[in-house]
Parts: sequence; C-alpha cells; structure tokens
Amino acid sequence: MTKLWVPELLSPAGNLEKLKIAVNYGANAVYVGGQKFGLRSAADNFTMKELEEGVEYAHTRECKVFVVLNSFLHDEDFLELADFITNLDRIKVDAVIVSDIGVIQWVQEYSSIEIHLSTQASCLNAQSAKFWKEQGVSRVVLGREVSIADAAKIRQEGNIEVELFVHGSMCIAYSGNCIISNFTQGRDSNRGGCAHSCRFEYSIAPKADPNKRITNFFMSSKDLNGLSLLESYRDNHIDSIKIEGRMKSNLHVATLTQVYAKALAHLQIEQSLGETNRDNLLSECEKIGHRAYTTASLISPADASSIYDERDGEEQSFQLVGNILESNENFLLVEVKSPFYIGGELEILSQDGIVRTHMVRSLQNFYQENIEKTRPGSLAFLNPLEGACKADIVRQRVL
Amino acid sequence: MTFIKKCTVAVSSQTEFLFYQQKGGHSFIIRTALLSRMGKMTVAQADELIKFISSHGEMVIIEWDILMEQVSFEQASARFSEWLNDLQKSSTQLEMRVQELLAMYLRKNNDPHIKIQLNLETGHRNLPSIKKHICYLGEQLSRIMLSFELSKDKLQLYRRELKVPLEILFHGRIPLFYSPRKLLSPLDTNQEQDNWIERDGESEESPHKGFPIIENRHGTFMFNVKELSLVDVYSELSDIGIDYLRVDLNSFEEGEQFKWFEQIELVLDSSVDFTQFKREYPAEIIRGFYSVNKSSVLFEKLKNKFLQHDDETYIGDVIEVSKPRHIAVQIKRGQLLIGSEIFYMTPEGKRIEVIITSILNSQRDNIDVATKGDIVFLPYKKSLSAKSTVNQSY
Repeated sequence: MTKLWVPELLSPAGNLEKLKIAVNYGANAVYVGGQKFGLRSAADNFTMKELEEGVEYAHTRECKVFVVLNSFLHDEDFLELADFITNLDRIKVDAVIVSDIGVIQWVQEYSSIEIHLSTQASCLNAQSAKFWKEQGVSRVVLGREVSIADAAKIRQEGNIEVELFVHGSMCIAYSGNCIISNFTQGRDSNRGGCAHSCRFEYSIAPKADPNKRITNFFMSSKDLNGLSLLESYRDNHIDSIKIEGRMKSNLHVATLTQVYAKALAHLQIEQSLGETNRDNLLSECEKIGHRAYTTASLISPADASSIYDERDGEEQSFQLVGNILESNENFLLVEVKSPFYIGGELEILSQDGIVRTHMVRSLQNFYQENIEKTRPGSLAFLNPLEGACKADIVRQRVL
Repeated sequence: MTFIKKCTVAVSSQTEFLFYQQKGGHSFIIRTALLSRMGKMTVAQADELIKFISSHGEMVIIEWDILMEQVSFEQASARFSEWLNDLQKSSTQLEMRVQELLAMYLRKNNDPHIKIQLNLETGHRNLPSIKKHICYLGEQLSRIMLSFELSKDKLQLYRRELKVPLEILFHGRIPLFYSPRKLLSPLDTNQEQDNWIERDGESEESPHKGFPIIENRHGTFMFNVKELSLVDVYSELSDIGIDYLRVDLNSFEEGEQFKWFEQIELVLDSSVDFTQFKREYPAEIIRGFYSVNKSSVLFEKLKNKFLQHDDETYIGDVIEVSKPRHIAVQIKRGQLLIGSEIFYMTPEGKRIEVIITSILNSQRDNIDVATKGDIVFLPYKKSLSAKSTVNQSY
C-alpha cells in the first residue's frame, strides 16, 4: 500500500537524555540548544561534545538535528559565534534555527548549514517569507498567530518550507515583541532570560477609577493542542509540525512525541485519525502537565477563550516515576524521580508504542533488601516486566 | 530657546502640527488606525492632515508598524497602495516608517522611489544585522530607528560604523509587549468607543505598579511603568551625533502634551532643573539602558555552573547516594577503571577527589572497567548527593 505523505515531527530536546528520548519515541527531527545563542538559558542545553554525540545518535536512527541560534545577539556574542558555527558544520547538524539577519550572514559565511527562520522573527505572511527566502532561509517557523490555511498559502506563494507549532506553551505576545523581563527583571527575554511575566497575576483598573479593579491572569495563554487538526496539517502540506518544550520533562517529551508519532503513522495509512483513535491520543495528552488546551489561531484568530485565567500551576493526571536503567529477566532497575510504593500500579511508556501496566510486587534496593516506598534520587529494583526496555519512561497516576 | 535638534514627533491634528512646527519640529509621523499600533486616525483624516503638512513644506512620515497575518496584510497593502499613489501626487516630502519586512514589500512590489525609515527597535542589537538591512535597502533607506536598549557606548560605536541617519527615542513611553489578542475587553463589558480601551495594570507578583495597557483593533499593548527620558544627556547625544531625536508625548491630551514638550525645552535651555522636571513629570522617568546594558549578566545565575558538563573531564552522573554504603553512578562517556583517579563535583561546587578501589555492577559482581551506559556502584564518599558529576582527573 502506498503511504500518504505526512509532516515531519519535530520534538524538543533540552539535553542529551531528552534527545535520545525524542528519537526513541518517534521524532523525525529534534531541536536542541548549545550553551549559548539560544532562548532557553535555564535549560541544561548541550556542550559541543554532547551535540556531537546527539547528532550521531539521531542520524543513525534517521532523525535530523536542528540547533537553535535564535536569540537576538549583541555585538559581543559574535566573538564566539564563528567557532560555534564551524563546529556545528563539522559535526553535521542538519540545520540551524536563526532569527537575526546578521546571524544568517555569519552562518552562510562560516558554513554550508541549512538555515531555518525562528518563530522569534514573527514571519506571518507570504511577502515576509519571500524576503527571508531571498536571504537564504530554506524554512520558516511561522508565528503562532498564523492559521493552518495561511501557512499553506505562505508555503505556496513563498515557495518555501513551513513549520508550524502543533503543541505546547505559547507566548501570548508576537514572538520577539515582548521585553517585559528586560525592564522589570533586568533579564533580556530575547536572549534567553524570559521571566514569564505573562503568567503573573495582574490587577487591572481604569486610570480614572483605580478602585474599579479586576484581578486576573489576563495575559496568560492556554497551551496549544493541534492534535485534532492533524489531518488539516497534512492536507495543507505543512512540512513540519513542532512540539514546544525544551524545558519540559522527560515524560513530557516522551508522551507527546509518541502521541504525535502514532497519529502521523496512522495518517500515513488512513485519511482520518478516527474518533476512537483521536480520543485515545487526546487522553494521553491529558496525562502530562499542561494548562488548559486551545487550538489558538490554527483555524481563526485566538479569542478570549484562549486565555488561561488561572494561577500557573500545571495539573496532571500522571506523574513521572522515573526511567528504566536496566531491564532483564531478574529485575527492572529504575532511577526514581518521584516516590512509589510496593503494591502500586505503574505504567511503562514503552518505546515500541505500547503502554504496559506494571504491578509493583517486589521492591528492593541494591542489597536486595525489601523497601516499602522509594524516594527521589534513588535506585529501585522491581519485579521484571516482559517487553520493558532500557530507557523506557515509567509513570503513575497521581492520587 | 533651545530647539531639540531634528526633533521627530507624531501628530494627529493640525493644531499639534502647528505647535511642533513652531517649536522647530523636523519631521512629522502620521499614525493611522489602518497601519499603526497607536494610530487612531482614519485614512481620510490622515490624508487631510498630510496634505496640510505638505502645504507647509514639511516632511511627512507614514508609520506602518503593525505586524499582519496573511489576510490582514493583503487587505492593508491594497488599501495603502491606492492611498499612496494618490498621496504622492500632492506630497513632495513623503517617507515611510516601517518594520523590516514591510520595507521589502514596498521596495520590490509597489514603489521603489519612496524613502524608507527602517524601524529596528525590536532586536537588532548588533552591527552585522543592521548593516545587512542597510545594504539591502541601499539608496532607498533614509533613516534607521535604533533600539532604545542600546547603551551610550553602543550608540557611539554605531554612529561611527553606520553611514546612515540615526534616530532614537529621546523621551516617551517604553513599549514592552505587543499581542494580536484582545486581552482587556474580556474583562470589561463597559468598553470605550472606537475599540480603544486603556487601563493601568499592577503586577501582583512583582513590585511593578501602573503599567499602561491599551487594547485596540490591532491587539493589546503594554508599556513600562516608567518612561524613558534622555533629556539630561541631550548634549552627549548631540556629541555622539545621533541625527534625530523622537519625542513621544502622544499618550497625553493635547494641552498636557504641549506643556511637557515646553518643559523639556526649558530643561534643555537650563531654565528648569532636570531634577525638578523629573519630580513634576506625571510618570517616573528613567534612562533605561543608556548608561549600561547588563541584561545578560543574570543568565549565569539561571543555571548551576557546577553541574555543567566539562567536555574534557566529564564521564557521568551520581544517581544515588546510599549512606554509608555506596555511590551509584551512570557512565555517560568514556570509561571508568579500577585504580583510576576521578573527582566528584557537587551541586554546591565542592570537588572531591578519589581513587577507584572497587566497582560493582547492578548484579553485584565486581568488575574492572565500566563503560558508557553502565550503572555502577562505587564506595561511599561523604558530602556527595545525587546530581553530582563524575569527572576524570588528568
């Protein structure tokens, strides 16, 4: 049977461990950051040696690696940029994601790496895309304000690859057009120092009537979830769908990568995801920490229903328990991230796409001493589970 | 009276224009509701004002700083092209003030003759980027608006390096945030007319009170609590050679606007002390990053530098400390041998040197060497915690 075309699945990888998770759980490409020049200064990010290992790991599994260089650089940043670009070229990264036209010029001068335009540049229309193509950009990561239909038009009229976000947290401002942190926290939001002031609670009042005050999270956006529109992404030939979240947990990366990989695999064969399949996948999306979901501007401009009027605390029905370090016929060795108990029920989010339930019948430490409860930052030896593999993610329902 | 050298102001009425013209205003920005974030004028009103200004022989700048998605862009472009054709017949000194990509659109598609003033206030805090834009627009470029986050040193450097006229914000509100979403109207059903809502915002989680917030047909805009004022360093800016200084008092009603403009002039004329001006001005004023921009300094504190991996020495991570029995380590790179010298680096920055005397694997077997991917159990060492890194000593 001839398979239908589907978009590339692009997943976030905040560090080498997450890169491997994204690759193992089905990403076609991952985006990562070095120690400088990206917008996630607080993420672990990659040293050059880790990048090299990550690229090799991904490439041997037919996954591409894109490196973000998307902060708005200051002059002094350019002192180290040439070396960094040369090294990226040497280790054969597949593309760099850039927002600054000066950086584009340097990438072209010091390498032959493909250039993608970051969403930071707020490319919103076909004329803008044409301009960037003239500058040597091969793909534009469109602003989150762009609908799927407009993205298709930009792709066609701009004659350029388009990448559109499909899932994750959203800037409520046009990307690159928020500098609240710069003036209130002394941290440059466009160089990785964003303090997430949009998630704060504000009280709002007319200037003439300060007592008429409303307290509200008025500028906090719900999270994007485009799963239910995946057929539209495919039918409009969006080249790449992007999951946000280089700062997010291993569970987040694994769950969402697997959900979208499964959905895309299904859409290679069927015209539609189908109601049951879609519902199952949507329920998987509920198992990770997230704000309420919205389709934002994917169909029509985001309206009042896209605002998340709650304190920013992610609710989740499942939590990360840990990851499997070893799996054999005698035991599962788990690195524990959150506590669980003997007699508890765990779920193994396996890399083969199966979610396996695992009853904890035996729980021991390294000395084969029985324990009742695990603690974060420890290792636990559990009864074995057929099919479970090293690097599988373990989760449990939040009580 | 000291006139502000090549003062650039936005005007929305003939009265405002005549006031600023008499004050030595050099070029006049027209903000329309069609194209400008803070624009209120209809195209017809703007058309009339532009013709009035042109009849006085002054330069008119039409501002287009709205970011537009595909459909809005197509509609606005069509409307603007039609208007521009008409305007060029009657206005001799007409320029466009645009964000970078719209410049491309105008240049390539519509009118390669109109002069472009390029707004690079967002981002563009490096010479390679600015020079690239200058090169791209060539002769069509008439002025660049530099970021208001540049320090004095940078302004000096850019003045030396850039061979085009430069403009900076001299006095006015600092825009912090621009969203296409309408964020105020959902809070209040008693909305003002003309889709224009103004509110003050106070952060409940930081000490900042009184952010001016505006919602209009283009979205929501937030400004800093404090306004930027470089009035007291006017002579420095003159020495640096910044060509145009923009005064933006447009948030005030006409009378107040004129009053504060005249106060600025009096400060420049040394008739009013700057401290007094600062005290009486309705908003707090700051120099912003003019003295120095250290907004990247705090980045170092966002991450624990002791946990950053050193490409030369790093071999793995401590994943369990079982006091006083063992240290479990995951080998991430290279290998670990019996007898080798390593050091642990704790999250607190403590370096602990050890010689490896025993290695057990997860089956509790003694092994001589552990390689990448292995989980091994080493002799206990006090002061260590999970997340410490394991490094090869050389």
